Amino acid sequence: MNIRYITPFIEATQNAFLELLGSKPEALTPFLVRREEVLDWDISGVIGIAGEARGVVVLSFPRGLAQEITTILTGQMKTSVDDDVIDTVGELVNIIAGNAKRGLEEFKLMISLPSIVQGDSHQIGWPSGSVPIVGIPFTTPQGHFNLSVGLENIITV
Amino acid sequence: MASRFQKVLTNILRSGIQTTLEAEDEIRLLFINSIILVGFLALMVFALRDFFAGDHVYSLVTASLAFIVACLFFFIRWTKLVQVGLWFLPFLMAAFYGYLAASGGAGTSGALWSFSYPLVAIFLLGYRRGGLFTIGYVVFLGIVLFVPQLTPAWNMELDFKIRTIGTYVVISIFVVEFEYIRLQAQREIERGRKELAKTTDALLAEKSQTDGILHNIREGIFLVDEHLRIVGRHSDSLTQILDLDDETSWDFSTYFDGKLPEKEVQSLRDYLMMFFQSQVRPELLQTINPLETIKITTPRGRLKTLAFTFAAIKLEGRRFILASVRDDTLTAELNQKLKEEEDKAARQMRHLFQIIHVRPELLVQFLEDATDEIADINRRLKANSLQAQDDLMEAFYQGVHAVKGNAALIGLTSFSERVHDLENLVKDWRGKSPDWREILTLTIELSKIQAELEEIQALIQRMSTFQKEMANNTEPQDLVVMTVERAVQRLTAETGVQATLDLKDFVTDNLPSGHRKLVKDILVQFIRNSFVHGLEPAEERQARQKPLTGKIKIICQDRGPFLSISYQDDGRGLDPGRLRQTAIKKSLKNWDTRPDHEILALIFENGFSTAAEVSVHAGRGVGLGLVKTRVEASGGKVSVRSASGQGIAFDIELPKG
Repeated sequence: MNIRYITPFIEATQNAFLELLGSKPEALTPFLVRREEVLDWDISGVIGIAGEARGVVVLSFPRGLAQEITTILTGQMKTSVDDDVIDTVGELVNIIAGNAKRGLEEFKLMISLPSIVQGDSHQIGWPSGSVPIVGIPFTTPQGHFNLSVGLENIITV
Repeated sequence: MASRFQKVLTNILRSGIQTTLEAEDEIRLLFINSIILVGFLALMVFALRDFFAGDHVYSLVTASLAFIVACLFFFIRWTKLVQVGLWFLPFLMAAFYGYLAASGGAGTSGALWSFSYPLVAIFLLGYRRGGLFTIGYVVFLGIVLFVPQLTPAWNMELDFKIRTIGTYVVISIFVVEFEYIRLQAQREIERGRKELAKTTDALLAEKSQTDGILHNIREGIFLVDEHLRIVGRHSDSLTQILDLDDETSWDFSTYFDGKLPEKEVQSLRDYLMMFFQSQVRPELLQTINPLETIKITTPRGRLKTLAFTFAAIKLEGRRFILASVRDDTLTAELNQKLKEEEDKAARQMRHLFQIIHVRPELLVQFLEDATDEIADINRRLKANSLQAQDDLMEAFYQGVHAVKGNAALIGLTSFSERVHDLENLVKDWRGKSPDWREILTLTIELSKIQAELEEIQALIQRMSTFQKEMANNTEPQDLVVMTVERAVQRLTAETGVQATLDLKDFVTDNLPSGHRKLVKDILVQFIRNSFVHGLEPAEERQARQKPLTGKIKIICQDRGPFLSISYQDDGRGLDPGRLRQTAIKKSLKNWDTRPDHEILALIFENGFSTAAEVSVHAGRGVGLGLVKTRVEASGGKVSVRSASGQGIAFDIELPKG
């Protein structure tokens, strides 16, 4: 795992929120995530990474924040995680992945289209083997969310 | 409507024949039907006119002729026998024209009709056969005109007669000439058409070959013009390999837009443009190909590894790049996987090497401690998000330091070096409050160390599983017994001699471990001896009234200070007479007078063998000698008993100590 692979995702996340919701989420102290750990998130967008590094980048939101974001963006009041909420989070993660792609141009890295995982305390399918995983919490006026990265270097830099 | 009228007319003129005919036959068919039609109408007109003019004979003749002509038309139409019509009509017309000429016709101008005869005859039957008719008719006409008795009805001026004949001949000559030229032209056209067809066929065959290649080849092959556009035809695989949605006139260089960094796309364009400059050497261009292997995301979002090759070609004066592309995705993925595995294996090997030198209980303790330390750091990291802690970095440092120290202490050098690097990073932040960005760097490093720790744990797990698997196996079989059994099996297979092995009194529990190898080697030697010298093949045993299968028995007994091992087989045994002869031959002292038991002991002498030839198993004369030497070296004794034809027995006594 190389920090230079992760920074584009952090910046893309912050910019996307700033543009769409008007405030820049603040990053908090990162921590280690164990692969079997179940985090208290309700909806996640998973972006696959391949190339000189292999793994996934995951954006996880609690239910409340996901609904709040959807309310702001669609103008409809959301009180449950319905298809609109899932679509909105999917679109948001899509935008973030698209922006991050630009920041990753200098590397031999490819990123997949995001897929959405939803459900109480869902688990993320991290790459097999002992892959280092780091979580970066973000805080917004609407609540916390989390960016987790599990990457394995293939070409050692 | 015009086309319908045309269809009806064509049907009438072709006598209802639908199939395509040879050009020559077609012309004749159309011609005969035209003549019939025109002739029929003309004859009917004349018949009516003559009838109303009161000339009933002429009218009847003309009408009958019209009827015959009509019959001919339907005859051809029904039977499709065009040839019959072609041959019949000239006769009919010769008769009719002759009658007209002879009778003078209306206004004594009947002879004028004769001028159309060469046209009809030659066009119907060709210039050769038609020519004969023409000549025949002119002779007939001459007779009609110049023999007065034949033309009583009228008289014609001589000049007129001569001119009539002359005109007829001139017309005939021109018609023959015309027909001849027409035929030549027709043949010429036919030949040209055939040649054209042949060329077209060849071209079509060539095209279908090219098509076949372009449809089936797995590589994408295409042409690029000087505007870097893909032009002309390309192999079918191309759209699949490049994942193109729309293949109409796309730009090869824009294909890479957004897939490669802009600078690389520009240099790719520059590279491709070099193919259109004649001064650049092709070999040089090959070596600097930037697309030799390239990883890109295709327009449909698939990740591919593609390998391109380019060559400059000239077609009709224009320069093109002949490009081919191969999909190497699978190969690349495989290589990557391989490299991944290799790296991992190397790392694990390093770990393994160090782990096996560490005492297990120390290692377990270390792993527990290290996991705890890292978990503790992580707890503080997580807590820091909620409430900033002044001592976060200090705790981070101390935790990492402890892990490093412990790893170095028990000898996990490479692991401790990794941790040491992290320690150096953290050291600089002691007593400070770095922002999340700096902490992220440290966290990433920590996560790598945690991953490595997990790897070590997994490795130990595997080793212990392995150990357990081994331990769970049923009591390992005694190695001596196993070796003996295997030796019998192998020699049975090699010599074809059958023998059973009796080990029921072969108790190896009290065999001192120091003697195991010796006993094993000795027994293998004896077994070899039995199979090569002692045990007979089945036929020989039958002749001697022995059981067909030979028997080997080994006994091992505990006799206080000594261990007694007895080996027996029921083979030929030793022949003292033969031994004595061998001894005499090798002139080993004066053996002919020695007693038998001394003779038997000879087999333990090095270099003494009765085998005729040296093989893997026998003949070197060292086997039994070696047994004796080694038994005596360990303080024991060996002796041999034998009854010729009954078998042999070796007795060994070994001191236990």
